[in-house]
Amino acid sequence: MRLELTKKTDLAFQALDVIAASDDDRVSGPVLADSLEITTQYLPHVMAPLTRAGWVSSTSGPKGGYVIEADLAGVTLLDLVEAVEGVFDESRCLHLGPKHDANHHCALHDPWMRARSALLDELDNTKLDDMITVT
Amino acid sequence: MHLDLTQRSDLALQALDVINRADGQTVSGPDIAGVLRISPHYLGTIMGPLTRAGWVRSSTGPTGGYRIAVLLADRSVLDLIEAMEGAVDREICMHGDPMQPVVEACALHEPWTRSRDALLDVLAGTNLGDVLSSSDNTMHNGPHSADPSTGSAR
Repeated sequence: MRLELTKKTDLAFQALDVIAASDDDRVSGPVLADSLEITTQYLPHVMAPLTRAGWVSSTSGPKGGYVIEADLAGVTLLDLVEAVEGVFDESRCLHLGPKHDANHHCALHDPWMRARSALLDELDNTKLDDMITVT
Repeated sequence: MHLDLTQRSDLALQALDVINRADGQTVSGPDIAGVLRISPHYLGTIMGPLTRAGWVRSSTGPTGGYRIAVLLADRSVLDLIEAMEGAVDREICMHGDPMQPVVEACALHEPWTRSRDALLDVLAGTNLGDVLSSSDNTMHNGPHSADPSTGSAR
């Protein structure tokens, strides 16, 4: 069973951490890409969910870069994971094959949903604010 | 992040339930496949991991089939899922670059591990016997398993 985050979520978190820790609150694309050890071409893919969520804004030009836009105090790790990897479908239990009978009730539905809630609750109880280095 | 089970785990539980109800008798593959409404060929791919993990014993020949080899009440949902879908690699945090030493590199390792353990703890703490008895009504309401005793309790 795979229970793994994508690398993109980890990079997004690191990006927030780097920007929050910077002295002038603004980090240029090349510097940020360098800190994350990724290419400047890939950086926008990492940053897009963060700007879409309104946590970060970007400006272009010689003095441009990425700035933390919102107070991250209320943002949880679940918010971040869902911003990058998509919102969980609450009703879904199984990877369904083409022959799936919509009326079939999965016997593992209840325990699986309970287990999944436990994971999501943990993520939701983890505040990004407590994890990033704010200067 | 995908948090889905595969349908194989659910089919495996249904197959175990069918075999378990035979009270130690052998149940043929085609009979199980019929109840599960899947092809005998596909059933083979479900029973393979269960046989290898020692949950059932299989025999061949005209009277061959599957016999239960464990007490389901002693097994957890996690045991079943890991038998069917492989053990959870607790060291790996991220789905990504296989060249990356993820354990050190992942900034989210600690909270993610904690969250994942919360999920695994629930699965490990849920007994298969309880799951089967609580899902009795929903799993056995088809034409294959009409219970003649229903409604005759006095």
